[in-house]
Amino acid sequence: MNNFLDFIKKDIEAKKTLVSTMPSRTKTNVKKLNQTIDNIEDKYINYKTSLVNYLLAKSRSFTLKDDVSDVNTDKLNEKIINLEHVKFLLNPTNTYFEKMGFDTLLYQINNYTTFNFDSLNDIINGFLDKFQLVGIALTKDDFHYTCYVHEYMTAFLDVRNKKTKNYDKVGEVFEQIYWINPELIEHIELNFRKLIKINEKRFSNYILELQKDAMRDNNVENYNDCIEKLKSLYIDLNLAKKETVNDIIALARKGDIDIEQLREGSKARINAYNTLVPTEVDTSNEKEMVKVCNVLEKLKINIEEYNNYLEFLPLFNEFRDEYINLVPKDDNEVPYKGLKEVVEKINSKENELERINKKIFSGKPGFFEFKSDNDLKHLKAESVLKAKELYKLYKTYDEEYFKAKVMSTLSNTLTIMDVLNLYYSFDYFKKLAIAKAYDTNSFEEISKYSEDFDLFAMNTTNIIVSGLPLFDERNIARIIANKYNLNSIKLTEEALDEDNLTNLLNQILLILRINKIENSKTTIEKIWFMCKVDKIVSNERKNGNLL
Amino acid sequence: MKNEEIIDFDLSRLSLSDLIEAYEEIEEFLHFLNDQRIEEDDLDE
Repeated sequence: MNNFLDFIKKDIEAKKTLVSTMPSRTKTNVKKLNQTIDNIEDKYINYKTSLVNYLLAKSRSFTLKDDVSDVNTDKLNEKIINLEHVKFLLNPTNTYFEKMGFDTLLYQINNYTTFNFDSLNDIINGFLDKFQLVGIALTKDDFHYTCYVHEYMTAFLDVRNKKTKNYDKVGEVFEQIYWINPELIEHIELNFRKLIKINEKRFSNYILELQKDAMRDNNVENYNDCIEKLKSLYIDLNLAKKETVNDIIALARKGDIDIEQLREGSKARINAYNTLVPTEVDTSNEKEMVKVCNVLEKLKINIEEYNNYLEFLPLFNEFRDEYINLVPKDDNEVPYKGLKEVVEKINSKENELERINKKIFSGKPGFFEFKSDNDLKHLKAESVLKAKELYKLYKTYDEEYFKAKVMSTLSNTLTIMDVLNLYYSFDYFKKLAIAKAYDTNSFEEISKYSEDFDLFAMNTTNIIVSGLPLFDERNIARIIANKYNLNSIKLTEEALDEDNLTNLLNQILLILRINKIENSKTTIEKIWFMCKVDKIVSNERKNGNLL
Repeated sequence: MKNEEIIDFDLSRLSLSDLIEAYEEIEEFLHFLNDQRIEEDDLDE
């Protein structure tokens, strides 16, 4: 007998019979029984030790050499980060306002209730830093939107200029003002908005200089050139980052994928082939399967894009419902004037507020001095009231500002890609739209949606959304299914249901991984064996049988 | 040939799944043996 497995199977059977039939009534019987058990156990522990050592050596012999790639992904990533920054600076859809990051700060200050007092100070410092970037050191005299804004910012700048970072005193000032003027933070926001407007030229020029430097440093001619270069870099990066057999082995050993599913005869494997590979394809034919897998690679990318599209469908629907009635029907339509009108109203009201403030700051209500404290109180209350009205007007301004941007591109041929570009270019409005579409006020949730949205919008492999009209409903699942049926892939509309997409993606990945392993220097069985040995080793270590 | 010495078996002749099965058989048998052991103090002479 030289087959170890056959031997132990028969031997174990015999030993089990022996042990089970040994008498155990008396102490002597038991002693003998335990002695016999000890002897058999010693032998089998020795067997196990030898076997485990053999398993370990065998598993180690299956290790593949590291995939040495010619491409330096770190360098590629660095180039991409640089070009993404150039793209951000050259984006023709937005203005200096978004490129300076003022929209992100505005969103934060609008949500100040989510933060603590320290975070509020960070936001205010964020505004001040941006002014400093373009060489404007704001002083207390720049903050006279209301007398309370002036009082608060005087205290704030005092601490900031001392660089002490101890804002306790500012907190006390805030506390005092808050009970008279709870809208103080909103009015600080308005003061910044006004200062940004006044210094528009400085910011625009600063961005222009940044654009010039970035284009020169990165050898980019214009926005489109930048996009093309980025596309090509992403193709290189995706190729370099393509999953290798060693990646699959690592995933299996970590337990991130179940290697059992890749084995011949497994239910998951049979299901995946039955779902996607037509019966006429000989799955054991290497050439035929390579062809199928090339198509499946593309399908995988399309499904990932479709999945992203479905995630943000509520946002697209919200946009469509908001703007469908504004789509120009003919060329003779009256040009859109909403933004201009609200700007005029803001200017006029800000002038009124300035006149009141002049009286308050100069201490003269008119030609004469204040007769009593009441006069001053009255003026202060009036200024706060005006600022409150202005805050409402700025809200309208925000809506009209984005509307104006939308109107400049709005047509019945607007695509999902256009909407992606619009929201990607206007962070503030994207977040407002997310809050509405997903009915949430959670800052964290909105930020997460926003990050995912940006990744989707930036993805250069997007192809479905680039031609997908917003105002003309299409059955995308059917379009994808039909396309791949033409490419000899079995795909039903049902498989592309939102609830089935993860399963479909897993099935595609399963077939791709099987194919990759089968065309490599290893086998699924070897990987399965390595995973099993890993578990055995971990079990033996846990029981103290192995170092 | 001493049949019961693992050294006398050519493990390389076993398939990968048989090797794992062998480990599992031994492991299960060791548990069985452990369960069969009787505490000697519990019994009278």
